[in-house]
Amino acid sequence: MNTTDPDDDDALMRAFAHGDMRAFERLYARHHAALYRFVRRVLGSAHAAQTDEVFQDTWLRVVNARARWAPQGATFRTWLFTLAHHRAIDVLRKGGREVSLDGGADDERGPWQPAADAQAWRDWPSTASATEDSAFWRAAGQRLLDCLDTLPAPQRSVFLLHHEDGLGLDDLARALDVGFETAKSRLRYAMSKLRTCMGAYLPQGSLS
Amino acid sequence: MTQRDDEKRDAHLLAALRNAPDRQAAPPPELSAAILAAARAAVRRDEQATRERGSWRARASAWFGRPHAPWTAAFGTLVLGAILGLMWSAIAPTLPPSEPPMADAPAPSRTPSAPSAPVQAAAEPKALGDTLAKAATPAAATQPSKATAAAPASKGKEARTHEPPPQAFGGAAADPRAGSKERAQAEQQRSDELSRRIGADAAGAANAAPAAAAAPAPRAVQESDSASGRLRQERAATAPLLAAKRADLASSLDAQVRAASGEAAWQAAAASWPNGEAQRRWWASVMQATQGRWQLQTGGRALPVPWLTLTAGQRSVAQFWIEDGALWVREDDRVWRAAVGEAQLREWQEAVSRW
Repeated sequence: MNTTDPDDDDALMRAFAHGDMRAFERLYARHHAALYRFVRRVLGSAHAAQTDEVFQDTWLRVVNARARWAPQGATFRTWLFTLAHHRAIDVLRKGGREVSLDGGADDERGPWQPAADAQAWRDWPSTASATEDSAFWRAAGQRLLDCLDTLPAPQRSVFLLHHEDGLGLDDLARALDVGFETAKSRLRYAMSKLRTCMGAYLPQGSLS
Repeated sequence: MTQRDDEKRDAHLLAALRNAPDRQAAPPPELSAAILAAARAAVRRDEQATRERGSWRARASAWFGRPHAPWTAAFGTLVLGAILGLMWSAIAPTLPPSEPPMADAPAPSRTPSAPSAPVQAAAEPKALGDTLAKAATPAAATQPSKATAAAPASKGKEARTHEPPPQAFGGAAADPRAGSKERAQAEQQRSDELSRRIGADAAGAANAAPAAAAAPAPRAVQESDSASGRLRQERAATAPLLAAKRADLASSLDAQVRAASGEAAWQAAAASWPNGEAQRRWWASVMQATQGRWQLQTGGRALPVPWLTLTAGQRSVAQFWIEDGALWVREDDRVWRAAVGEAQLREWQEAVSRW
């Protein structure tokens, strides 16, 4: 559609709902890579083989829901990632992996804080050398993926949506259909555990 | 940490996330193609639904798709069944019982003589013997020329176009469609008419024409009645048989004798007799005994050596033989059979032996 704003996902989705296939192609080209990574990371290494299934199901849900889709306060991207999150949780449940929708017992406790003398902060390499060492960052990235695997799925999703997709807490709470405080607590625990897990890959200064 | 701190992205975690080994991960091309194809198919379905929206199909499917669909479907089935039943009951009485409408059509070669049929029917000769005797005289032979002149030519045409090969006829079954009750009744009526005309009083006029053959059939069906090619083919296939059945034995013999304009005679083996009084009585007896029994034979079977041959001039008009308790007659290219019993056949054989 010539009147569709090429930068507006919602407009593209509306155009697709009215039969504009090119609008859907734009949406897909814009979001498919990020969504695929998100699905793969939420599923973790144990269920990586089901990434394609969840990814395809998510887009097919978008296609099937085109006629009744409405922004309702959330962007298309938020809606898209939320669909993927719910589908991934379903797969994890069926896969036998325990998934607690409330994020586990962490939600019931106070904010997690790493110990001030934790080894993780002491071994952080110098920033000057690390930023120039791509091998270091590749290792740090792999370390982060491993750390994500140790998180409960809800915390993993919150962290990924928050950091990679850029959702704020309000959007997180709405997308995951949880309260604001719950979303904030999950994010806090996720980040704290990841910092601890990352250990030497993080500078000690991040403790403060 | 405060709430605002939690909302901040951890720069180091974010940097690690963006440099993770799976940062270049992307769906396989075939997966993307499948998703896009599904989307295109959905768009096409929408377009199709839009085109059909408002059509009777869409309304009907929407209506039958309601929760009361089972009841509506059952009701619809009953209504449809009732309609079909009414249509069938209205159509069934008009359908031909066993053969296409062409069965009642007149033979094409007979129709030109139709106008003379009513007058000639009153003066029709009632016995073939007298007919043959009168035919031997030139005056008698010329009188019915209007009625009979067209017969040989038309019959020749008929034989070329419709009739089976001359030496082929059936043994037992008279007609593949003889199982039809209506056809059997019609055949019976024709046979009765044949016997009445041949076996009655010998004092009838000699110039009579074959009224039954000349009279048109009750219902004439035109070729244009049906546009169905299949029906035309069936009609074409049955036309020779039906035309042959319509021509009765007596009229055919009579016509051929008249056309010959010669001396009628009977032959058996090496002997030959003119068509005298004894022969006319014998023939009258034959026609009387076979009244209503003649059946046209179809199919293929070798003809036996004839027992008697009726000639007109030097031409063979009819050949007779006895077989299976019946008298058989071959005239022109048709074969007739009349089952009369062995006793009657022996009586006729003895009468001929006394000639």
